Order: sequence, then C-alpha cells, then structure tokens
Amino acid sequence: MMHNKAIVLVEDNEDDEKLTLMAFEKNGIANKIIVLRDGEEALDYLFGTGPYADRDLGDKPQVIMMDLKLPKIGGLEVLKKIREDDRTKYLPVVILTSSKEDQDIIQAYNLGTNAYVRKPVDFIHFIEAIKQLGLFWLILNEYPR
Amino acid sequence: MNGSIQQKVALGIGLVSFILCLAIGFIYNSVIDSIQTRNKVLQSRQVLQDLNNILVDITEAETGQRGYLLTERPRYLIPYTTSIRDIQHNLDDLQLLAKQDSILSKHLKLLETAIHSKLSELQKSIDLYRTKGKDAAMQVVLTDEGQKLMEEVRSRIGQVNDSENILLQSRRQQNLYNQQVTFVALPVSGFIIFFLLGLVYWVVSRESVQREKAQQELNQLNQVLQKNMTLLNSIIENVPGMIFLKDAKELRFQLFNKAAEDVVGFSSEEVLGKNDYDFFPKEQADQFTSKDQQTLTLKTLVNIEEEEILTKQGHTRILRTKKVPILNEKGDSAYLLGISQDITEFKRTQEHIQQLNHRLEGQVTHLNTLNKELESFSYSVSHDLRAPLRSIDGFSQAILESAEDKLDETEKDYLRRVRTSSQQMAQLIDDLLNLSQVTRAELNIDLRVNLSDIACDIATELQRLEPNRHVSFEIEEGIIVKGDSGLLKVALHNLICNAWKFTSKQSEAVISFKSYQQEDIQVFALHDNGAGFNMAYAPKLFEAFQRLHTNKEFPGTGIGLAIVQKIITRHRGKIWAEGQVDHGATFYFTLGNVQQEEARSDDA
Repeated sequence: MMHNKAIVLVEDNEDDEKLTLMAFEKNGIANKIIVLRDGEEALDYLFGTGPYADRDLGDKPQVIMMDLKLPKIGGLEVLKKIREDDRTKYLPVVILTSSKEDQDIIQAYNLGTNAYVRKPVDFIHFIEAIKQLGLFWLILNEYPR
Repeated sequence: MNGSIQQKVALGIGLVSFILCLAIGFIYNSVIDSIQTRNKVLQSRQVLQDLNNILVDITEAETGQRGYLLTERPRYLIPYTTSIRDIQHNLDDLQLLAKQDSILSKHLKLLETAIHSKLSELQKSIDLYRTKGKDAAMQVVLTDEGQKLMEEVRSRIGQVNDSENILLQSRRQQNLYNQQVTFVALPVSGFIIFFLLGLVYWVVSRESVQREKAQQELNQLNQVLQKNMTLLNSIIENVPGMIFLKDAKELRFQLFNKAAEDVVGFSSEEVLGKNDYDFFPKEQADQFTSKDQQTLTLKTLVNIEEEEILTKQGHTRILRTKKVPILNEKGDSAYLLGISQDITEFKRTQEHIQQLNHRLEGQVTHLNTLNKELESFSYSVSHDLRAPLRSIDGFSQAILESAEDKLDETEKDYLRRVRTSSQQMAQLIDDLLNLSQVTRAELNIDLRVNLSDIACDIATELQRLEPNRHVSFEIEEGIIVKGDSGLLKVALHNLICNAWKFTSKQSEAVISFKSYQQEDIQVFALHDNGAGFNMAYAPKLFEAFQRLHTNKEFPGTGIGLAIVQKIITRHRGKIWAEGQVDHGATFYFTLGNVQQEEARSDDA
C-alpha cells in the first residue's frame, strides 16, 4: 500500500473489530489501524483532547470507518463535529454499520459522510466490501491536505 | 263626487219633505179656501132664499091686509101676522148672515128701512080701519103710497139680490179656480216628490252597489288576511325552534309555540297570560327577566349563549336564546320576541366528543409511544441482531479457512450449515424490516410510474445475476400507473423474483407481465409456468411466514408476498392468485386511485 497513514476504526463491538481487522488483513491492508471504542474517544482522538492531549494533530488518518451505534456519543453526532471543525472537515468518513434504515442513511449523507456501507452478514461479502473500500479510500481517493 | 251618502240622502229627504210640506200646505189652503167659498156660496144662496121669502111674506102680508080691509073678516089677518113674524125671522137671519159682509149689511139696512116703512103703512091702514072705519082706511089704501113703498121694497130686494148674485158668481169662479189649481198642483208636487224620491233611491242604490262592492273587496281582503294569518300561525307553530312572545309591560306570555311546549313541558294554555315567576324557580325567573329587561331597555338583540331551564317534568334543559324587542310605531318596546334552541343534546354530544377526543389524544400519544418503541425495536433488530450473526458467520468462515486441513468434510459441512443458517436469519431479519418499513413509510405518489420499465430492469438484473438460466420474459410495454414508485418497485421485484425462483426447475421458463381491462378496472397479471400451487392454499399465500414449499425445494422467508399485499393494499388495490401445482401461477393485482392526502390519512 502506498499511503501508510493510519485508518481509524470506531467500533464498540469486539467481534466486529476482529472481523474487520481480519478483512483488512485478508485484503493485504497493512496500514496502522487505530481502534476507538466509542464516540467520546473518537472525538478525543481527533481533536487531541482527554487521553489524546499529547497527540500530534498533524498526523491525520487516511480514512475514518465508523459505526453509527456507539456508546456515549453516537456516530452521527461524531460525524457532525468532524464536519464542523476546520481541522477535520475534509477527513474521509465511511459509515460502516448494520442499519439499513432510510433515515440513518439520509442523515449520514446530510451530515457529510463520504460513504455509507452496510456490513453484510456473509463474511465473504464483507471481505469483498472491505476490499473495495480499501481500494478506493486508501489508493484512489485524493483529498485536500 | 262630493259629500257623503248620508249628506246626499239627508238633502234629498229634506227637499222631499219641504216640497211635501209645501204641497200639503197648498192643498190644505185650497181645501180651506174651497170650504170657505162653499160656505159663502151657501150663505149667498141663503141670503137669496131669505130675500125671496121676505118678498113672498110681504106680498102675503099685503094680501092679508087687503083681504081684511075688504072683508072685515079677522081671519084674513092670520096670514098677515104670520107673514110679519116670518119677515122679522128672515130679517134676523139675514142680519146674522150679513155680519161679516159690510156691503150686504149696508144694503140690508136700506132694505130693512123700506120693509119697515111698508109694514108700518100696512099696519097704519089696519089701525085706521079699526079706529076710523073702512073709508078712512080705504082712503089710505087708495093712495099710491102703498104702491110706492112696495116698489121701494122690491127695488131694495132686487138690489141685494143682484149684489148677492154677483158675489155668488165670483165665489163660484173662485171655487172653480181653486179646484183647478189643486188639480194641477197635486200631480205636479206628486211628480216632483216621486222624482226626488227616485233620485234619492238612485243615489242610495248606486251608493249601496258601491258599498257592496267595497264590502266584497273587504271580504276578499279579509279572507286573504285570514289565510295569511293562518299560514303565519302554522309557521310559528311548526317552526322547529322554541318561539315565545311577551308583552313589554308585565312580561306575560302572549305566544308560546309547539316547540316551546315540547321543550318546557307546559302547554300554551297554561303559560299564556302568565310570567316566568309562575313556572320557573326564582333564580331562573330572575335571570330570564333581567335579560328581558335588558333587551327591552337597550332595544337591541340580546344573545344568550347558554341558559338553564327547569321543565315541568323537573328536568334541566340547556337553551341557546336570542331575545329581540318589537317596537311600536312610536319606537317604544311593545313586545319581547324570544327564539330558543334546545342545545342540551348538542352540549351532551359536545361533552361526549370532548371526552372521546381526550381519550383519543391519549390513545394517539400511546400509539406514538408504541410507534417509537417499535421503531427503536426495529432499529435494534436491524443493528443488534445482525451483529452476532456476522460474528457467527465470520468466525465460522475464519475457522473454515484457517483450519481447512484439520477439519474433515462433516465438520466443514457443519460449519457451512452454521453459516447458511445465520445468513438465512439475516435475510429473515431484513425481510421483517422491509415489511415494517412498507407499513410505516409514507406514500410518495408519482403520477406516472412505468411498471413495464421496472419489470424489464428487474428481469435484466435477475438474468445478469444468474446468466445460466434460460427464462423468457414477456413484458407488455407502456404500462403506466399512479403510485409510489419505490414501493411498486419492491412489489414487482418480489413478484418477479418469486416467479424467477419457482421456475428454476423449468427448462423453458416463461414469465409474463401484462395488463387488461375488466369492468373499467385495470388488472395487472404476472404469470409464470413454474411450480404453481394448490388453490386450496391460495388464501394463505399472502400471510407472513406462510410457505407452501420447503426451504430445500425453494428457499425463502415467507414474507415477500406479505410485503406485496401490503403495498397493493396501501395503494387501495387488491391482489389475488390463481395456480395449479406444476402448471404455474398467476398473480393479479389492481391499483386504486390514491391521493397524496389519502395516503397520509392512511398513514395516521
């Protein structure tokens, strides 16, 4: 892989985290994966607050993959904060979730998500989806520095 | 025309009376005249008679005197004395008759003198005869003294006679004239009277004709008035609203219609002439009266939105009343008109509606809560139920891959079964979510939805996904309907996928989509020549989770047709199916005329 920037995965379900990591691995994605457990941690990480106060904010992730249903602060709320802040507003955000509710999809796009992917139950399909995502967001996509 | 009929009749009768009086006076006068004239004529005749008698008696007396003188027989003196007595008698009579006649009385004096002279000459000769003898007496007789005196008497009588005759003549003429005048005056006055009476009769009869005509007109007017009054009364009586009228002075009821009787329970006979205090509790009567006074004083309509009234039966009714003053020509309040509506039932209904509304609001709130719960439930289902399935499937696959060498075929088969089941369950969850979404989602009506195009797209997609199958599609072109394109797409997708699935064992599968008119309704038909079904189970086809085949024969969740039916129902259409085992199936459906509003109310 060309860009060795980090991938941020915001996921509270450890099984899903494991499966996602497995899918990355299967697709040969070797980027550093930063796993965050809830919305609050995600915001701390992205804005260098709380436990991440010492983090270099110049070190921006390649892509943020985030579930919608998160403890403490929901995925949509986090997305909103990302888009409202100049430091993060151009960060690519992919919503990776189980929900296929219309209102979730519409709201996510309204708040400026770059993609909305529903996690398939079939693991082989899931690996395929991660492959496509990786291909696009890690290799093809360019965005303002 | 001037003057009233009475004046005219009075004038006419006055004239008639006047003329009648004149005529009567005239006739009376002429009758009196006539009687007087007749009396005078009779008088004249008596005078003439008397004169004649006197002449005869004087002649008799002279004859007696001559006889006595010649014969010396005293017997001859008898007529002489009788005649002298008669002469005196006649003279007295004449004297009496001449009382009112100056000419006659003058003539009579002269005649009397002449008579007395003659009689005294006769007496003188008789006396001479007795005293001095026949010769002395004869001496006197032989002189023409006696003759002269007699001539004198005759001349005087003739004079009176002539004068009386002239008088008699003139009196007769007078009498005749009077009679003539009377004869003329009577018919003339009679004619005038009749003429005037006729005139009066004409005036009176003309007046009476006019009066009769006027009376007839008046009668007709009265009838019309009576009819109108009856109509007005029956309107007031039959108006389905309480109407009453009170006099302004004492507020006593003057009118109380049937509706009022029905509401209050008192009959109009009981109420008329009495006031509120005679029927209602004092507080109510006070209230009614104060509103009455307000209406009459302000001379304006007073609207009483609600007032309670106690009926004769002791029930309380609620009235909505309008009170209006009725003014007299001076502009003062003369009557109070009241119109009331019994709104008891209305109020009760209103209260009931309010209660119902309240309850409904509660139910709506409850329903909203339930809906939200359901939404969060389906959200959870969508999100949380899938996560474990992903783990099951994912890790099973991970084992299959990582431990491929260690596992025998049976173990691998088990793991594959685990994966298939979890994927089936994921499908089931998705279908359930679809069903609930179809039920909840708002209809977005598009005026032109091209079902032919949708069907073609689905067919193309299916053929792309399973290029090995040979299925010929027969899709009628240009089927355009009104409806929610998203939902109709789902419905057609489910139906065509069904047909696709159930023709999978057919070497020459045919799926057709057509439409036809049946009694003005457009019917759409999706036919396949697949496995078909037993018509006995037709009613169960559209129930959720109902399957007519095993999963092994034809995989599925049993929700697809339930979703289709839901969508068609929401489009106010109908869906039904015909089939025969191994001879294919046909699904028919119709679409109603859905409006955006209807769709919304349907969603509520």
